[in-house]
Amino acid sequence: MSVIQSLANQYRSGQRRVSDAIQSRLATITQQDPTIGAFLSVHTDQALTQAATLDQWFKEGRELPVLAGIPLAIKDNIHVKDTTTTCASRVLQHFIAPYHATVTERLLNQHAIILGKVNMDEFAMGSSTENSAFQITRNPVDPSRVPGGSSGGSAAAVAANMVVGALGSDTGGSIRQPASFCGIVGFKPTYGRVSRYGLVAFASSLDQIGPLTRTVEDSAIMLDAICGHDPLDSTSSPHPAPAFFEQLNPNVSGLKVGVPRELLSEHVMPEVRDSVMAALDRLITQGVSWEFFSMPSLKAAVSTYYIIAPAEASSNLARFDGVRYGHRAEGCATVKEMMHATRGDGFGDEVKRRIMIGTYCLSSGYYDAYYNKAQAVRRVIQQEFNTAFAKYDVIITPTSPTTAFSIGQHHHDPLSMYIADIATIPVNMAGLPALSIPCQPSDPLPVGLQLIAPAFEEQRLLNLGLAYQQVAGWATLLEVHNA
Amino acid sequence: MRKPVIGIEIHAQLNTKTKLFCACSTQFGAPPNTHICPVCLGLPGALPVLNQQAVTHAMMAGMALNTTIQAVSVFARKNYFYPDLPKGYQISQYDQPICLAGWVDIPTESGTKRIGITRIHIEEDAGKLLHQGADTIAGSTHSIVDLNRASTPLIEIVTEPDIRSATEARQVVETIREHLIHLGICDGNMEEGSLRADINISLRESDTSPFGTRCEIKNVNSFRSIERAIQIEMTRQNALLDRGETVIQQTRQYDEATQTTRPLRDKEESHDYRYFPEPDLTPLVISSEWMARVRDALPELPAHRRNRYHQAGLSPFEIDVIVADPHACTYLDAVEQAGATYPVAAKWVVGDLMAWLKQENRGYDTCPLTPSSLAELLACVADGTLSGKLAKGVLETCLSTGETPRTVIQKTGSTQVSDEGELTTIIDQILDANPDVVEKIKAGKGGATQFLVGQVMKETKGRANPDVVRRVLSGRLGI
Amino acid sequence: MISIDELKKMAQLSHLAITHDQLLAFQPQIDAILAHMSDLNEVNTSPDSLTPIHPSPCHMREDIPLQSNLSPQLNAPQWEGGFVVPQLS
Repeated sequence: MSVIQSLANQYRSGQRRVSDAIQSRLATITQQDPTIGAFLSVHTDQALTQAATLDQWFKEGRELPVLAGIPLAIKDNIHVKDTTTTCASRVLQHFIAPYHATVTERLLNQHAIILGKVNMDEFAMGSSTENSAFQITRNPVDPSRVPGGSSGGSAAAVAANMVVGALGSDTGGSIRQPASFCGIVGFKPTYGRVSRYGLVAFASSLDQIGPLTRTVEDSAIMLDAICGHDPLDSTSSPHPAPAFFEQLNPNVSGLKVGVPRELLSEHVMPEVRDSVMAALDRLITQGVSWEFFSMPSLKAAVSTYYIIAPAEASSNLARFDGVRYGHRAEGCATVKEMMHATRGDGFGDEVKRRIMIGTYCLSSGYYDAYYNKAQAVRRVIQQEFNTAFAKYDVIITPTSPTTAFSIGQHHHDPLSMYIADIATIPVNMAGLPALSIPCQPSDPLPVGLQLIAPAFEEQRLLNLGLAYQQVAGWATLLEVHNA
Repeated sequence: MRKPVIGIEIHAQLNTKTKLFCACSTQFGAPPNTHICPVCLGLPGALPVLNQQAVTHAMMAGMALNTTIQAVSVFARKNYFYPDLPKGYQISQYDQPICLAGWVDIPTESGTKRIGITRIHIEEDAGKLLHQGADTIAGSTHSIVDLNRASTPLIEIVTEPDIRSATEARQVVETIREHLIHLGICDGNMEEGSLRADINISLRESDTSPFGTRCEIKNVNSFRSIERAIQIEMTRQNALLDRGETVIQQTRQYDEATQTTRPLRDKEESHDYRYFPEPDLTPLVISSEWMARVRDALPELPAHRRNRYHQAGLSPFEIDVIVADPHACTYLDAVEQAGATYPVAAKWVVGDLMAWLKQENRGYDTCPLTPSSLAELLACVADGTLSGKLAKGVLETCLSTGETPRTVIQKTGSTQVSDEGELTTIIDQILDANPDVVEKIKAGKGGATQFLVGQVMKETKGRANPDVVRRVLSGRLGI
Repeated sequence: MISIDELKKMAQLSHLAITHDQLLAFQPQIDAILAHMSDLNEVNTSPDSLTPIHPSPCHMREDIPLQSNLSPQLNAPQWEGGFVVPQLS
């Protein structure tokens, strides 16, 4: 069931006006966001103006795309022209984006309505959204817990029904893990499927933008809008994007699934393991077969990521030097002093740690042992996936070894948070597409099931995800927000 | 006498219409910060897209300098902080550049010498810093950053340390510059900074000793500076070594005004550039078809041209002057194609025509007299319609009015009068009018003949064929 | 344990003003992360040249100028016809 389609039908049948739907969502934000803290900026006036225009167009009987009038949120590291892009950092606190990200253009071309920019870990570095310089975000399922990160604001906004869908970004799991913590659907496309132009870069060879939604169908609709080659992004793939929503097919009988045993080890919480095993049983009823297999390089994946990502980030964040935009430290006598102070003031601890680690791994004397070696291990991970995909159609893992942890729980131990990314990181290493869906609605805390496919096989994931969604029945229990 | 070992790094700005990684114009002279966009401004979220023409230009340079063009090369980030570097890194090439292992021949006193070219790579230029409060960094109160130049395409050409004197060094830069200009890919203007040379120099005891520690000299902005800077640095290094001290490896700035080199500050920690492959770009793949197309379209190179003109009978002076300007070469070749001979055409191209163009601050590419028109003029001289002197006048008129020689000749009637009968009539008139001069000549004062020739010229408004006049006069006077 | 001096050097290279106390706090954290890197050595790798994740033809652009409507002053911290910066040391 598609929330987007349901709302779109209401617009076209006259049952609901766009302005009312938008007002209703804005009211939800006003009521709930003081607790949840998902939004960094709400674009009330723009949203209502657009809604009024769309109401006029629907009245005139104009044919409009399915996303017309659908309320969305955008992670605050993706540009929406003439509004702030802060990346949840003091360094960009007042930065006004002078251009749209390509994904924003594509959504606006479909007349989607962007309600505002949502919270994240500073510069997308983190797994809990606690690294935001401005505010924490609470998990709508249990507000004493984190929503995950770094796209925590995106996940919370969707889970709390403030918006129908949101864009997040994923470098090591930042869409999938928050989706799993908040009980919603999160999709990371194949590397190169979605343009990165207008996404503030964290780790250029790993970043991808993707949708967070309540259902798999909605994920497909949003993917249709944002996927496709962009001449402004040289890493964007010329691979043609099929019509994902149109080609959804939940008949997955005969599908062969592999489950890496390393990812269901004793480090995984018992409730997570139980939910995942139950999910696999459910899939068998749909004609899917599964078995365990081994991916020995997965163990090193976390280390690989924590060299490559900080290395690229240390370079990508060098542009924040106070010269042309962003925060600038006052009262400095020389340029060098100004740059040091600007970056020292402006960046939070996690960002500073990662920049320093990244610089270290690239520095002379260490480049071969760290960066070069990490790239080589990355290729081994890729090869192991290729070997696995010769045998299996889809690889399934828990999205995260844990459920949402308490706010403040991991504050003094960044390493423990890093290790929790064990299931999501290898996917970015290999540039593969992956989908996280909730195991079942009756879980006390949401547990995410991660589906991984070969490059450019998003349709396969959407089909399997839809099949699971239907058999698990959580979509039918969804409350579609009515005003 | 210790021997210098010199290598040179040349940075040449490619004259593409747009920058290396974005579509901003590279046109010179725009107001500051008007040719900028998110990419070259280094805004968050911006991404580089490679300019294909810049790659073609780099390939042309690589072919002209006899390098091997790599089928696959990789862009890399060179990381350092400086206010004129918007991203905090420069996109360059590191261990997999586009061209490797070439050479260039330079003329020396003892014959042609071959200088190795280690590599050529593509990279983006930085912006400009305008210092306020003083002319140089020291003493300025603040600076203003202009990013119009940021991301302009550059090629860096690195020679092997095969150079053994200041003269050779100068010759290397001159020769490479000439190649780039003939390819049409760089305007070679050292004063404006579109061609920059950094010199690496060390000393050793003899030609067979191992290389000493080298220093890099920057800010060398003219051919003369190249020789001077090398001489100054050699003196400095010799003095150090004479005192038993060692030369420290460092980068030094050449100061034309004080004729010294100084250690360059503020680049110390940037020795660790932390190069890694540029993740926002895929490797540069050059197909054999593309390489072949570029090779086939390669313009004629200077050495080939010099040889051709030498064979055609031009003097070394003429060759030097013409080959210094590729447009002059194109013009000269076209004049020859239109029917003139090389030696005759060259005299005019190098002589009157060049003088006029210089005066009017124009080039051969915008010359109002077309090559075929010049050929027409030269044909008139060859067949006697015009004397050399008359032709010069016609040339001036053509250049200032833009008319063809034929038109001008018709209008002014300035064809040469060679008809003996016509001239004899005039000569007889003049002889009758000047009996005392005739007396003088008959008395043996031959110099007065010139006066009579002058009178004939005056009477015919300069159109009389001087050879015919002299012949008739001689006959009439019996001398 | 990674030394305070090395950390200082990294902070310098990255142009990050960082207090001694902060360095002390970071030291064990960064050290623990770097210690994990020894996992890499357990994986057998071959030293071949880097290939992109999904090789695609090299993307290039025609040499046609486009005027961007960007206003560079919009986010500039200090502007006087250009980006003003303090004295270069």
